[in-house]
Amino acid sequence: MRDFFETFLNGVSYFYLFYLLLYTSYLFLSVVVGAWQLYQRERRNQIRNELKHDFYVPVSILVPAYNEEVTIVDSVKSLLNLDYRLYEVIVVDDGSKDNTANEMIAAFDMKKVKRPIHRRIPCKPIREVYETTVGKIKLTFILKENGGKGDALNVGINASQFPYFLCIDADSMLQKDSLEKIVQPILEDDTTVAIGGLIHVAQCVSLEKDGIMGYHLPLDPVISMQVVEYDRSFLASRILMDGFNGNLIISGAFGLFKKDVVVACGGYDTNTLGEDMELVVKLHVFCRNNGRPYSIKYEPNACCWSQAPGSIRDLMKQRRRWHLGLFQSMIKYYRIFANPQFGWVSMISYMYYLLFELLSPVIEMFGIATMILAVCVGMLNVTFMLEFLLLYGIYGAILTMTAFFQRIYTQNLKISINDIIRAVAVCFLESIFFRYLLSFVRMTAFIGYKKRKNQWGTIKRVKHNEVKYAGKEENNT
Amino acid sequence: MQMKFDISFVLYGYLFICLVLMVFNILYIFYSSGVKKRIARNAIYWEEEIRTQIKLLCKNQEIEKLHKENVLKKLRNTNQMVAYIRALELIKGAGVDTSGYSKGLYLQVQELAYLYQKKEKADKAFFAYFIAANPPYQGDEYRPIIEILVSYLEDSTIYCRENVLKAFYAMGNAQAVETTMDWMENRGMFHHQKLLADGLMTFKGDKHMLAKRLWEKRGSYSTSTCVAIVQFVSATLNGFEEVFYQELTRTDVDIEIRIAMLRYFQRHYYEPIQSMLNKILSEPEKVDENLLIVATTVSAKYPGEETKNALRKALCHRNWYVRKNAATSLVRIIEDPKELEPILNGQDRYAREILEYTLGEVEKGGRQ
Repeated sequence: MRDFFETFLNGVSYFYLFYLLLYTSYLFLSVVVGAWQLYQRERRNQIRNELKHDFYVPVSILVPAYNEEVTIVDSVKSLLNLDYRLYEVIVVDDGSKDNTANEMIAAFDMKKVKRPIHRRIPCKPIREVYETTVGKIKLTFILKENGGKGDALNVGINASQFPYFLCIDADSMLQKDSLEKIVQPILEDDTTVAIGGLIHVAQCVSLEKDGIMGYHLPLDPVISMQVVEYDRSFLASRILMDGFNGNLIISGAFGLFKKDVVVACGGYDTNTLGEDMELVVKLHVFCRNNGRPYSIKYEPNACCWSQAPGSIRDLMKQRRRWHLGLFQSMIKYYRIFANPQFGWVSMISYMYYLLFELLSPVIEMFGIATMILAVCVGMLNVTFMLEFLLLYGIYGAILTMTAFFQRIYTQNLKISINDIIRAVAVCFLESIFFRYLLSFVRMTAFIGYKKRKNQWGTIKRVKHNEVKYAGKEENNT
Repeated sequence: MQMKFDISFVLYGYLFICLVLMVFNILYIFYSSGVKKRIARNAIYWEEEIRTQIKLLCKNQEIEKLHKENVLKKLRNTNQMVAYIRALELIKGAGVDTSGYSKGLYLQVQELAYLYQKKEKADKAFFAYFIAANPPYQGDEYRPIIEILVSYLEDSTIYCRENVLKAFYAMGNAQAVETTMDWMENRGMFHHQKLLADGLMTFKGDKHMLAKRLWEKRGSYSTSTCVAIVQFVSATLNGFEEVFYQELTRTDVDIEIRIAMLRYFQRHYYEPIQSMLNKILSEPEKVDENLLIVATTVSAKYPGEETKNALRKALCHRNWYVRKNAATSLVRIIEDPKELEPILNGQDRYAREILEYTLGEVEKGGRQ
């Protein structure tokens, strides 16, 4: 019996050896490539290697909203203040139960119109359409029956008048140059069908009309851990995948799409929790199946500031949704798996999401179960295990630190010594504790899955200016 | 659970490389901030130098020999060039004309162009940017610097190609622009038509002559380049009415180019096009729908009974955009809103709704 356990545990240990080797190599490669690319980019910008232009392509900004009375007006105001010549803003209220509609109509003095909307993508019925013009920017507000975020975005696409659309969350804010930056890849390559931007945590920044007025790492550990986690994810992994046109996710909080291609592949899926990932994977499949040259890009110079959940409860809700969305997309497009037609998208991107995102909770759970078994049969080298976990934690923390400070530097942000110390501590905390918490959340994501399948993810919102003031107070203390 | 192959060695290895990466990051940040400080200091130096030379030029004196030597010697360094350009931008920002100064340094700039030819792609693109912002001469005559800049295109980035084109636009040299476009076309290099069209509009020389030269070569250009040329002509030049009209009668011309040419007549009135527009609108089944969509928009520029009838017919077309544009054009050309009553009281719900909406829009915009 002992021989059997020994053989079994040896087999398991080799599996984990291989698995961790792959994962640490991937993480390492992504951070190194990300760092190198960012330095190159910074140098290029310094010596004007960019397509700075007076007029870019016209863009429709789509803002799906559900119960967003707290943030919607501030968000739309920030969208009306971009350095961009030709764009429109379309806010789609997906049957909110709060005062979102009244807030919008009153704040922008909107007038009800009888505007026919071209239903190129099927969507739930539209109740009312309001319009106004702020400066030269047309602002449209559409009230529709509740159908989920994907459905709200489809209505926005139907109502949009320009060839490119940008989707942005109702609680997010853009920098003045974000739109300009996110469209630049189109001028470099007109086969570009989608571009993702860089998402930052809004609670870190004081964003005013003239741009970033101050940056600080929030005191709240739940938020600050998300800050460093976003940095690692957006600055490293996405840049690496961008290198071979392999990004499978463009965050719903900030992404630009070519409208005719999105319409051709049926718009957003209304039956998934991860409509943003589903659309990007669908674009890969659509373009490859139709032999259409395409590229899906990531533009780290285009920044969006989005509110991160402020409590563990909200965070868990959000991550459950993300994991379920990932699961749905991976299952729906299972044909990408080990399919040579999809090249690196299949071999690297799909495999990464499958092994290190979707299956990782299962693998980790199996690992814990094996450890318990090893303890029971007295075959666990506890000292080695603790050393190993500590080493792995330090490794993760240093990678995260690299990504965090890289971003601070390349964005020319100034942070205090206190913030630097806190950032180092948070990176360790994230690597040693937060990561395992999120693994647990992902493991339990399927509990109650059917019940919440098509609901909007709701987290507690805070007014943007309250976020800002909180930051100032923190800085003062 | 002791492994024979210890993964901790791998992790130690990675950990070491990560620490090296962190140290590199920190050193790079210090180095980079040092470079930035140096550039700022050098920019102040160059600003003083340039202002002194401009004062000399104002007194009808020549640029000092020492300054010319300094320019040639120091600007070989890209960071010095960054400082120099910053200084020039500051001076120009203060409303001082630097064109005489730039022209006075033609030979030094030409020499620098040679030197930058051997540098990295990004540096070459940067030098082209410098020329675009501070052209050392303007005109159609041949100068060796053109050839040097064209040589930058070999194995270049899109930024380099765009900056070289911008340099030629700023110099106002039609031959150079044409050569660059030929070069890109022959190698199948993609250059976004928007960049081309908007860039051509900034051409500082004889735009009409440039347009004619490029148009004559349309047969050797791709559709996208031809569309860019037509867009450039549409935005800036009169006098192409007959040329485009004749071209539109040809059916072998690519639909994208035809659409671009038809749009020209929205901005430039040309009576003979009216009958062509009405023909397109009245025989929609015989034309490409995209052409029809544009024709309904352009028709607003050519009012008349026949146009109104054609637009009324287009209002019932199956294509959503044809109907939408027809409604907009119709509302713009009618003299009396009562003319629209048959449609507003008619059975076609969509025509009714889009007309009502468009009427509201036009009223809001003061029928502009």
